[in-house]
Amino acid sequence: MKCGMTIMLGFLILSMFVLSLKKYAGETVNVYGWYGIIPSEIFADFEKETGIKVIYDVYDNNDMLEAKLLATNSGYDVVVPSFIPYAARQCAMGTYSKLNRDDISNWKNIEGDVTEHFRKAGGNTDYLVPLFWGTVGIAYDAGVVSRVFQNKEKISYDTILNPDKLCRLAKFGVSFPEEYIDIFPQTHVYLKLAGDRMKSPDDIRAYGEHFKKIRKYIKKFSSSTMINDLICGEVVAAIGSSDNSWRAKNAARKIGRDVRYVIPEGVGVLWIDCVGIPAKAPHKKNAHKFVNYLLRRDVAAKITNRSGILTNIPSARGFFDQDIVGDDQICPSDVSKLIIGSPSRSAEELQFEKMATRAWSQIRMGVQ
Amino acid sequence: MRRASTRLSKTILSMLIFGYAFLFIPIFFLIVTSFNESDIPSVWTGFSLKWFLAVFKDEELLRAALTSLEVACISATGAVVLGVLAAAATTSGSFKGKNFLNTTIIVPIVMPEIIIGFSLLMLFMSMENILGFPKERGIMTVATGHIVATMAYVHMTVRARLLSFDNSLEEAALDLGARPLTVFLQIKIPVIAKSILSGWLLAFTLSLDDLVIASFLSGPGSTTLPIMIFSNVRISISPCINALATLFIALVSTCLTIAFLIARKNKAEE
Repeated sequence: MKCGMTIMLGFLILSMFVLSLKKYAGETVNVYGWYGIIPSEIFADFEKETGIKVIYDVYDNNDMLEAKLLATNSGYDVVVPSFIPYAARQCAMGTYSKLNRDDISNWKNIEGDVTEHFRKAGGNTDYLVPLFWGTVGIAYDAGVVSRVFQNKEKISYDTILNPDKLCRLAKFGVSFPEEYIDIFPQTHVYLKLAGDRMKSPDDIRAYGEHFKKIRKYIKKFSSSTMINDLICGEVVAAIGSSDNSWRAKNAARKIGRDVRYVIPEGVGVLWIDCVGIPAKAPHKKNAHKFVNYLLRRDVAAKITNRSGILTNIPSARGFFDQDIVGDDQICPSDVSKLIIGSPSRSAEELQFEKMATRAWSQIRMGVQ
Repeated sequence: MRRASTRLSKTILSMLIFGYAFLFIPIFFLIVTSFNESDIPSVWTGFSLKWFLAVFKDEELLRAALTSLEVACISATGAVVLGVLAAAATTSGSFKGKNFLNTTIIVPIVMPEIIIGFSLLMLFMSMENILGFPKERGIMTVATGHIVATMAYVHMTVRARLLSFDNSLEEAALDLGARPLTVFLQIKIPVIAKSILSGWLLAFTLSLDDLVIASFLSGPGSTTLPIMIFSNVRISISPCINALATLFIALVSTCLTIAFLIARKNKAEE
């Protein structure tokens, strides 16, 4: 008889208990970023120093972040969007609050080549901090590749874009990135098309024609599974980002394999993840403090050493671990030849972007 | 006849083994890899408990797990309260629109989660604009979304039990002067207690599992475990997740065993 009442009471007590887990009442800053981009010890250190608790939430793709940001009040104080096309687009829509330079005393740390690239590509440093960066290049298992080509091949875009060479690697598996912005620019350079980046619909048609020849040698299109694929021998070469390649390299070393990363002749895609403060951030003051903290040399170095993602603080290079700064491919000192896309603004550019997207999805699906 | 019921034929037995293998081999592998010393799931380098220690050191992961449990507790309780009331309403007496109510309640079951998530996000956004509430999204909005999605399951479970409820018990109690509320609390609830419990557990599990609704409705401080795991995939899944999953499985199987023992003891006493 009492059983029912007991159960109901049990539920009530349980939910009361759960509800009574007090929320933190002191100063906070709500940060929303990729998993693993900022190691959690940074938050602990920041709290120790300033008394501000960091509430860190993660997303798995930029679209989710964008949906949250555009849906009125997201509640976040600091977000980490990718520059192209997301942050650029959001910035143009007035999503971000203007950074108060007086509160960011470490701002001077960020000036350098990458920031120049960022500005040239249309990035607005009044609203966004181009803090995290890396490249897209070729990661490959040196042992297998040198066996296939009898040590005669110097890895370049020719190795993976030339159908005659790619077909020899095909049976060991080659993976390409999920998004066209990570491969079309290199294809452009490889095909020796006019200009340094894609401009006309003819360019896109040329890429399409070329991919028709090599599509059958591509095992998969994936950016996120690249680390496991390389280590497990699912693929022998992959086009992917430098931080993932760094992780793959370290993991592979542990099991006695030699994974290397290369941006052939310094040509590769430069990607930037920005830090921004949403216009409706509830704790703007704390957000500025946190951004300022991230721009500190030792903090930036710690982030890089943990994640393999480069931080755009030139003076922090001296604090990078040897396995990062010692590898000129993963942490290039010359960024002049890296290619960075520029955000689409005009209707014509948007039309062009749409065309490229369609061409890429046809390539991926293998439509001839 | 007796032979058939006591001993399974070879075909049936092999089907049974296949079925169990299909269900449990993945879980078995997950448990095994959580004891793997290597940080690459597919390479076995030795036995180690280090990932279990790592789970308790990984603050982000722990916080996500606790958030998930919190959301699941709140939403399961909410879903049970609403689901039981709905089931009681649709099984007792007759009123206008009863069939309509019955059908509309189970709509969330057939509705894709993405639609539930998105429409609730829209609702919360307009509420914020018009009423100024909820100020921002967080644990409560995720829990609300989960209540919407899971209430129908509780309703179905409890309703099935209530349909076989002997109405004469209720009538007798009413005859003896019990008020309707007393009848509901003291006669009906104890009879359907088990289905309430299973409804609660069902809602709890569904909420723990949900990624889509939570992604739409989460806000600062409400990253649930599935969101955490999904964002983790970008830099390959850490074996910590395997260890955490093993802990969850251990917890669940302990609870199930205890429930089973209690049920057996009750039966023996009867």
